[in-house]
Amino acid sequence: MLPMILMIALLSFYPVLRVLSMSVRQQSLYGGDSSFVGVQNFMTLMAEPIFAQALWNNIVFGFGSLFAQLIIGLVVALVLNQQFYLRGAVRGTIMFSYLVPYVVAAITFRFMLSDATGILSYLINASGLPISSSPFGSRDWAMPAVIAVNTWKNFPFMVIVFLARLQGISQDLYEGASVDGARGYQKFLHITFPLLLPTILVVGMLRTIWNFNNFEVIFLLTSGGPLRMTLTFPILIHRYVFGEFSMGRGSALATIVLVLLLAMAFVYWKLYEKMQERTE
Amino acid sequence: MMSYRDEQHVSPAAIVVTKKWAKQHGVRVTASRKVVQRKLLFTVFAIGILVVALFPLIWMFFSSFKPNPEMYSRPPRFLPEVWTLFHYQELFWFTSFLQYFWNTLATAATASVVGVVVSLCGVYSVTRFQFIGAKFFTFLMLFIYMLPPILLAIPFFQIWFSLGMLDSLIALMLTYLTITLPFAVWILRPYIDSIPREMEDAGRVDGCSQFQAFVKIIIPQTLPGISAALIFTFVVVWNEYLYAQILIRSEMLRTVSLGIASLILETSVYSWGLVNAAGVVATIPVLVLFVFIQKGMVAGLSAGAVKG
Repeated sequence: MLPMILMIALLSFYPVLRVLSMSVRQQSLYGGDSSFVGVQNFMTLMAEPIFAQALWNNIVFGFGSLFAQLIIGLVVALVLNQQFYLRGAVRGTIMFSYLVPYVVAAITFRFMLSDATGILSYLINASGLPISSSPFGSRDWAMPAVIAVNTWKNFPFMVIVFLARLQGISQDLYEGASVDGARGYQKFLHITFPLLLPTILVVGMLRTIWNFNNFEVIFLLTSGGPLRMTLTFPILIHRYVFGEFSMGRGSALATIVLVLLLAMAFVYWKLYEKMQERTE
Repeated sequence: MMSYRDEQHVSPAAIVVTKKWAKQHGVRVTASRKVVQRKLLFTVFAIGILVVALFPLIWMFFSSFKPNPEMYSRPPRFLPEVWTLFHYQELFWFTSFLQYFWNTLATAATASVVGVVVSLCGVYSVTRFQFIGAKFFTFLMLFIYMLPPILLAIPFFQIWFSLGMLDSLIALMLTYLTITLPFAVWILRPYIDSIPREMEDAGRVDGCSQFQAFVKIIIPQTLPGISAALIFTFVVVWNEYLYAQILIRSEMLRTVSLGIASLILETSVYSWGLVNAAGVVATIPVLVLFVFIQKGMVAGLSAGAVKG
């Protein structure tokens, strides 16, 4: 059994170590001579204005998606936790957008938001709202649009996890509160929300990391454009490595992202341990 | 929903008559009018949410049956005026989509089966043989879970390039193992953890070898977890785009995701009907599989995140 563990360790650590070693070298994507350049890759990388812009975009995209997913996920979970007809069927089908491929999410939204054919473009134009009817090409609306698509794609994850937790809350608590004369929102604030909080923190951390790493949504919708308005680190790494064949710079940026994520993962790990202690 | 069996002390007011009990005892249960009204109200809410959430997919589905000129009709029509299978014919006869479909199916099926078998052994060894590495192993899994795919893509590209295996489905499948392994471990672990040690020990007392105990006791107990893990990892690989985009160059080796992406990224003038039909075809296997394991998948998904 030990060889298996070693294999998995190899699968994960070897690529990471390789990226780390490449981040301090200058090398082309297709190998060839490499020379040790120390922290030079990091210096040139951070000196470019595009670095700060991508970092900012990544934060906006990551946390913007997170809050949208959290709020929508929570509201939907609370509604689906009520008693209603066709409960099982609705709870199952709400997951669909989470299950479809990212390319499908990309084509449906491109189709719905293309000027000539799009139903959403038509509705935006008809409503007279000051929103661009083709947001993926608009400086101001590209970021909100990719956040919206990412939210649509991933909010069901939140719904599933929240529902699982909500079902674990004993009805006795609510009945007791009712006897004491608590109103609906009071029950939510004093019973549901505190019990949901650890779950919110944990899935929040997971989703922060996944949103931060997300490549597909932006690549397939805007590829980082227009005018770098939606350019995030994953897109930039892809551009450095597979567009400019600059292994060193791409690896250096990947290393920076990894350090950021490890910091977040550390928090997640601590939360996870804390939760396990509580349940044991 | 509350069931009275779960509660240790039940106050009379809290007893809930289940539908099954009522049927068995021939009792007619009539809910009060207020309860029915509330239920109806939330049914409307829930269906409303569902329609909004699924609208992009519904729209894609109906649009795939519309003739091309109808795509441009203003105001847009929900249902096709004339239903046509033209786009599907175009997809299967005039593009290599069937080949893409097969490529994805073979890659995803292999990666998910191998991943689940290997991780089943791995999880078992971690939970049963209490060697020092158990905690490290869990941490390792979490670590892999969080690595940015774009970071992994760089060394994978280099490794396959130096082995001369770039642009092959085998290399793609092996790369996908780095996704399916941790995923399967994540889903399987709670199932194996929940099997009481005593069950296995009883088997060992009766003369089972460790391996027999694994095959005869652990596997049957873990079956729901195994099917969930198989389908879940299959779906994840079926949907994958980034690694395929980086490792695959030949048109004939494209996966479904690559094929669709090339329709929208590489050509500026495209037939929306064709794109929508391709989207429907890419979506169907995922949703069909989902219907089989809905329960297992929900449990598996939430098992990792909410252990409490």
